[in-house]
Amino acid sequence: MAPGAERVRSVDSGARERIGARSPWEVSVRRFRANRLALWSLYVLAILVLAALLAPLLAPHDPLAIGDVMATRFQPPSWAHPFGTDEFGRDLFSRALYGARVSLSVGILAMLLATSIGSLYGAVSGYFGGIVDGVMMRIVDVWIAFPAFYLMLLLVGVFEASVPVLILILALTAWPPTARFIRGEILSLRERDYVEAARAMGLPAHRIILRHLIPGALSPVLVTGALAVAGMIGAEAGLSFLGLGISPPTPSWGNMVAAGKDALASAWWISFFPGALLTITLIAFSLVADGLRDALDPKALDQKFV
Amino acid sequence: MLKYIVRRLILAVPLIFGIVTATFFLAHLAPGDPVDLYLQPQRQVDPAVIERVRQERGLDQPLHIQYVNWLSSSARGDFGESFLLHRPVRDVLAETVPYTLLLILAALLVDALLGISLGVVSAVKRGTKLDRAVTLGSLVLYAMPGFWLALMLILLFSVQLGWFPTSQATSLDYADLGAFGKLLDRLWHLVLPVTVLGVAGAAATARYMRGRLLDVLGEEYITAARARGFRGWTIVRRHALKNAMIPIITIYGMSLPLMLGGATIVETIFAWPGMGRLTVDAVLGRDYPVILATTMVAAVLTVLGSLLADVGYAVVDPRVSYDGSRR
Repeated sequence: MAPGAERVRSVDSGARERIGARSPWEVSVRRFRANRLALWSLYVLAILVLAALLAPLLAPHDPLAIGDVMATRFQPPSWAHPFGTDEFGRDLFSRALYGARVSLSVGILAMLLATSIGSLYGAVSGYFGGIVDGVMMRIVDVWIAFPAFYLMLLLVGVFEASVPVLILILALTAWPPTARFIRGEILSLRERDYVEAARAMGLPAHRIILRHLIPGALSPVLVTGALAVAGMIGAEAGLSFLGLGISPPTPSWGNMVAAGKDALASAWWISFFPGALLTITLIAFSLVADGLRDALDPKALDQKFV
Repeated sequence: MLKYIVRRLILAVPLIFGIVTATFFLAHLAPGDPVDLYLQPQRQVDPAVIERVRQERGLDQPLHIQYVNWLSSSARGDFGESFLLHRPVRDVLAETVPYTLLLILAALLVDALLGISLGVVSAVKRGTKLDRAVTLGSLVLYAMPGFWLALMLILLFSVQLGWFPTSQATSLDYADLGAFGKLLDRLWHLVLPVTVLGVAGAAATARYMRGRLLDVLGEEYITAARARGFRGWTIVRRHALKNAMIPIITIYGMSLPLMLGGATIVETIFAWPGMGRLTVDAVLGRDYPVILATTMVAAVLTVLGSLLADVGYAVVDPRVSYDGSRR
C-alpha cells in the first residue's frame, strides 16, 4: 500500500460520516434491510440453499434407498420420516433435500446463463445500433412471440434432456427479455461522457461493452435475475412434472410432485411437501426481487436512509 | 381505424413468418432426423423400412428443399401426418384446438372478473386487513406452480368432498343428456381446470389493478370530483375505474402465451382433450409433425392475441391515435 493511503481513506470516511453521506450501494443495502418481507425471504432462501448444500449431512436416509418396500412404503409423516415415505418406501424428507439441490442449481445456473447471453446480446445490439441493432432486435421479437413453454417443449422434444441440456434449454428460452431490457439501458448509457471518453481513448468495442457498459446496467439486472430464477425453477418443475425434465430416480421437486399424483387419495404427503417447498421458494424469490427493485431504484430516494 | 388494423395485420405477417422459420430450424437442430428420433426405441427396425419412410415423407431431401416444401404445405393448412395417431395433423388440430380455446377463454374470464374486482376492493380499502389479505393471497397464488395447485384442488374438491370430476371434458353419459344437462355437464367439468388456469392470472391482474387504481385516484380530476361532492364508491365507479382498466387490455395480450403454457400442464392433469395435452403426448412420443404444428399454432395465437390487445387498446382509449402514437 502506498504510504499515506491509510490516512487518506480514514479522512475520507470520516468526512462522509460527518456529512451523513453514503455510497449508493450502502443506501440500497439499508433500504433492502428495512424491507422485512424481502429480508425474511432472503433468510428463507439462505436456509434452503444451505440445506441443499448440506443435504448429505442433513438427510436422515439415502434418497434412493429402497428397503423392505412392503413394510416401509406409503408411511404418513412421522418423526422418523418427517415428510412420509413414497411408493418405494423411500424417505421423502431426504429426497426433498436432494431435490432442492437439483431444482435450485438448475434454476440458478439457467438464470446465470440466460442473463449472460441476454446482457451480452443486448449490449452488443445497443452499442452498435443501426442495421445490426435492427436485425438483432427482430430476432428477439420473434423469440419473444413464442409461448415460452411451447418453445421448451419443442426443444425438449428434439434433444435428449439431461441436466446440462435442460439448463441450456431453459436459458435459450429465457434470454430475450433480458436482451431487450439491457439494450434499452445501453442506449442511454452509451451517450454518457465516460463512454465517450473511453471511445476517444481508442478502446476496442468489446472492452467498452464488457468493462464500461454492462457494469453500468447491472443493478436492474439483479432484479430481473431474481425473478428469472423463480421462472426457471418453475419451468424446470413443470417439465419434470410432465416427465420431460429431470427423470426419476433423481429427485427434483417437480418429478416428486408427479410421483404422488396417482396416490393422491391415499398418500397426499407425497405430492404435498415438494410442492409446498416449491411454492415457498418461488414466493421468496419474487419477494426478494420486489425488495431489490425498491432498494436499487435511485429515483425512489427515501429521506430516512440518505 | 380500419387502416390501423390492416397495418397491424401486415406487421404481424413477417413475425409469423419468422416464427414458422424458427420452429422449423430449431426442430432440425437435433442430430439425426425425425424418423431416427421417432424410431429410436425400436432400433431393430429394418433399415430398408426406415429408408422408405424417409422417402415417403420427403426427409431424404436437402434441408432447404424440405423447408420450402414444409412452408408451402403448411400455408395450405397441410401439416403432414401424425406418427403416433396415423391421422392428418390438421384433423387432430381441428378436434383439440377448440377445447384449448374454450379453457383459455373461460380462464381469461375468471382472470378478469376475479382479478379486477379484488384489485378494486384492495385499492379502495387500502391499508386495511382486507387489502393485506388480498395482496398476500395474490402473491401466494401467483407464485404457486399450477400443477401443484391442481393436485391440491383435486385432493380437496374431488377426493375429499366429491364436488367436481377429476378429469375429462364431459361425463361418460354425456350423449344421453338433454341440451341443458349437456351445458351443465360441460360447466361442471370446466370448474377445476379453469380455476387452476385462471387464478394465477387473476392474482397478477389484481395486483396490477390495485396499483393502477391508486395512481388514478391520485389524479387531479378525481380531486375535482371529490370537490364537487362525489364520495367513495361513486368516484371509483363513475370516474376512476374506466381509466384504470384500460392498461389491463395490454396485460391480457401478454398473458396469452402464459395461459397456453399453463394449459399444457392443466390439460395433462385433467385429461382435457386439448392442444396442450396433444403437445405433451407428442413430445413424449417424439411425434415430430405434431410438435411442429402445435408450436406453430401456439405462436400464431400469441401473435394474434397481442394484435387483438393492441387493437382493443386503440378502440377503448381515445387518446391513442391510430398511427400508433399517443396524442
